[in-house]
Amino acid sequence: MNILNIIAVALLAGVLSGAVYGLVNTVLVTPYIDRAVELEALRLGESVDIAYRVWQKEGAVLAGLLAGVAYSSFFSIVYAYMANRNPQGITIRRGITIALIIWFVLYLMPTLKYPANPPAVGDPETIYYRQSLYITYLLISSISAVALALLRAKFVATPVVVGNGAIRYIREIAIIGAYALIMITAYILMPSNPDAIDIAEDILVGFRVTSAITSLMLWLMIGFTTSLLWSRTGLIRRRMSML
Amino acid sequence: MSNGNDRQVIRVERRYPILAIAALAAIFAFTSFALGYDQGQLFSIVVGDRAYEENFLHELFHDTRHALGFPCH
Repeated sequence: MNILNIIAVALLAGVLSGAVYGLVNTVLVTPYIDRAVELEALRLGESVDIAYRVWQKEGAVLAGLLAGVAYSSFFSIVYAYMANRNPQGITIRRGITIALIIWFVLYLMPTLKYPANPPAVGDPETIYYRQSLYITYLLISSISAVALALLRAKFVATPVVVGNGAIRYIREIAIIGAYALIMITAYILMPSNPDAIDIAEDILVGFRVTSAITSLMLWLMIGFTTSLLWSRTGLIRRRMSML
Repeated sequence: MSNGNDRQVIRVERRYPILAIAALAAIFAFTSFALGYDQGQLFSIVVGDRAYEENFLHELFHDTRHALGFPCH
């Protein structure tokens, strides 16, 4: 029953958050994509296939749902792990904090090296190369974050007798510093995006800012909804009574 | 036999919901691939090489793929 509850909560939080994300994207991000598609068509001397764009926009709502389910599943894995470690510490505030950290690690970090680009920027010939660069950077960010989080959990579990406060403070700084060092090294060593960026500045900046905002919103909604549903479905209470 | 000096040790067993985590990991892997990386691979299982030319999922998820920061064209 518990297993089904955890999966059901993840899916429900994902569908709800994803639906809102998909709709907000159509308002905030899609106009920039439309302009980029128009520019690309102009450059190629073609006209925009309106029916095709309508189909793609409908697909964007479906993709929003899928993104919600995908990210919510990942979030629930982290959340279930944390709930097991410390059921009392699991709150909506903690859920939102975890969501913020995940967005930082999975979206912001890769985006600083390989920023999101609107259509008309990417070269189809380099798609597999760009995907491999992006995945590599994503894995460096996520694996180092998970490893350091586990290390931190081990530190926290180890009692400190002397200089308690100061040592804990130094540990936190060391964990954050190690992550920063890894990511700065990766940033310097990893190759840049091979594609030339040849698109109007306002479209590029507007697209990057709005897509960063909506992706942050998606993660925060997942964090909030999952925490709320966990408390509402009694998952935390039930787990606590098991201990 | 116990006496007043015996100390009781309570061991707390924490059971991770392994099956739920495995199921969520599978959902995450499949949906993330379909959403962000598929270039015809999934449909090619059914329709063969035609899937790479049509690139259905890539085109359908095109706008969101861009918005989420995945590489696209």
